[in-house]
Amino acid sequence: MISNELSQKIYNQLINGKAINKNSYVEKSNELTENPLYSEIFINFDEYRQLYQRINFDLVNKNGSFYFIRELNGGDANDATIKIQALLIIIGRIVMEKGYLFDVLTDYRAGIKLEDLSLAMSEERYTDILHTCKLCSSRSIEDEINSHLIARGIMFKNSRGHFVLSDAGAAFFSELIDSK
Amino acid sequence: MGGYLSGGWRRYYLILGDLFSDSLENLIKTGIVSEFNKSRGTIAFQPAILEIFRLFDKERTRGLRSAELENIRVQLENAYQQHETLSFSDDNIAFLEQRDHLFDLLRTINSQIQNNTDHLQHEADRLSQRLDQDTAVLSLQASQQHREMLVQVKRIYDREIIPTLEFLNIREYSKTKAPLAIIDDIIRLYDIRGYEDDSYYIGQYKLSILSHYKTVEKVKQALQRYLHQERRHRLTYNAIEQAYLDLQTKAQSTFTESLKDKYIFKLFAQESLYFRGLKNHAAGQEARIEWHERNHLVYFEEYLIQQNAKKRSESSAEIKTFDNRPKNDRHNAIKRRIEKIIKACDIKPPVDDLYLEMHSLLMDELQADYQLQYLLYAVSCFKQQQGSKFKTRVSFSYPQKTIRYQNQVLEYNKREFIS
Repeated sequence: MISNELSQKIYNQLINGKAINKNSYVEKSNELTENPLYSEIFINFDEYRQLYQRINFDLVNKNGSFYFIRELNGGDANDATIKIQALLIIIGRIVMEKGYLFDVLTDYRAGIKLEDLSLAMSEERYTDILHTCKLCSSRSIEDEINSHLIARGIMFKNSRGHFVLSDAGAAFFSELIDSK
Repeated sequence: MGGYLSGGWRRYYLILGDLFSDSLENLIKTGIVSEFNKSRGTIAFQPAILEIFRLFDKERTRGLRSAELENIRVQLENAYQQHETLSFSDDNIAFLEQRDHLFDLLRTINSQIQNNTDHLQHEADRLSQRLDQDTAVLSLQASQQHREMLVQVKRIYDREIIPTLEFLNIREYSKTKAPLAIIDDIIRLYDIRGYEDDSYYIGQYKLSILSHYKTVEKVKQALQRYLHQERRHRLTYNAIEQAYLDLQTKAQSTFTESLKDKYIFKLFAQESLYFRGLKNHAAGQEARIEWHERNHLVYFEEYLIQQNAKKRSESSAEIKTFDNRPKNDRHNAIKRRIEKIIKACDIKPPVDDLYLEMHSLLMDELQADYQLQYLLYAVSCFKQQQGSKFKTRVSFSYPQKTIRYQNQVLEYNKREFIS
């Protein structure tokens, strides 16, 4: 049975291009908890899928980690998706190239500091790519991360103020690794 | 050539040198110290002596690597070939020399394998302890150290554990003969030529060397968990590196492509996008708003003024009249009774204190329903009814007159009822 209250919250997030993750981070207690919105969709998936199909959206579950909606019969690749992918690849590369464990990015207690990211991303090899993707040309890296990753539920800021990959962000890398 | 020492070790042995300065000459004479240079402050020991020192310090022992194990294998093979060409006889000096050399070699191999096993066990314990401490890697620095440890595990596994297991594995097929299989061949030679005692002792050496296989296998098992971690890390690194190079190639190609295909966004295949079709923000992804600073204090005060005005207008709209009250209101019922009582009462002037008179009247008539607040209403009603015929005169006194009734007090200025 669909919950009116939860379905409204779900709609608000999905229609704004936000992923609904399996787990949500609670900053106050610094812990991950099961996301009631994800559970709501999971339990009533058929109903929700039908609901969104009627308004021309496909309700997608990726890797059993998160939900998002995409337009049915959508056109070309949208710019926002490429920007998200470019940002994630560059952040992942910075972490790996510096010899850190990838787990730092996925452990909600750890994460990476904005200063570390900003410093690395200011290197020419990265700025060239970012500018080509129309990123960081007029906004700071923090603004870009906030706008493309945090606001969309692909990353979150933990209680230490560090950036951490959410289930959606981690799933992107899992698929990247599995596909190679 | 002797082994030179550096850093802390050199200092340590120079101190030893100072302590035993008288004996240094003896050490040089006996060949333990192969070189001593006072002006450069260096001292060189024979390699065998350094090996002895290493035995006392496990941190400095190094495992046998492929090259060293291959060297042992070659020595065994040479020993076998030498024995094969010799006639086994106690009178044959060459045979006796080869036999002594063989037993020396077996002793050395046994000792080296023992040291190697100890070293591997020590390293496995050290790395396990260190890695298990870092169950939660919460900082970049700790993560870097953790990764370096994993690299060490991988290095030891590849360079020391696997070669040692191959060295000790007699069943392993390879182009070259396994070292323990060569020892088996030597044992057979001694058996055939009637030297059963020697073959027995060589067999004992072989068993002793082989006994390390299980221990090294256990070390290998103990490190398996970390090897999985290391492998996962390596795969992640490779995958991200590949994705990054693809992205970089696409970005670079936009600098040279024709204007039509200039944008990187056209180069991405739909299928390659993980978040393909993710909905744009409803408000528009690229929206930019001029967001000027504002004086919040001014706006807050303005808000308070608005709220006060609103409150005032609302409160005036809520003025309640008698008629607005429901008909069954208890107070209204009592007031209607009071009106009837006043109408029916027979109070004639002069009355010295109208309030007191009215109070007595209402107490009698209303009894339990009477409250002091109704007195004012009764006086007002009385004045309304009798005002056209008679007059009331107010007299002021200090303190004012009071009437107490049921824990209530009414203070009033006396009104005389006169004709």
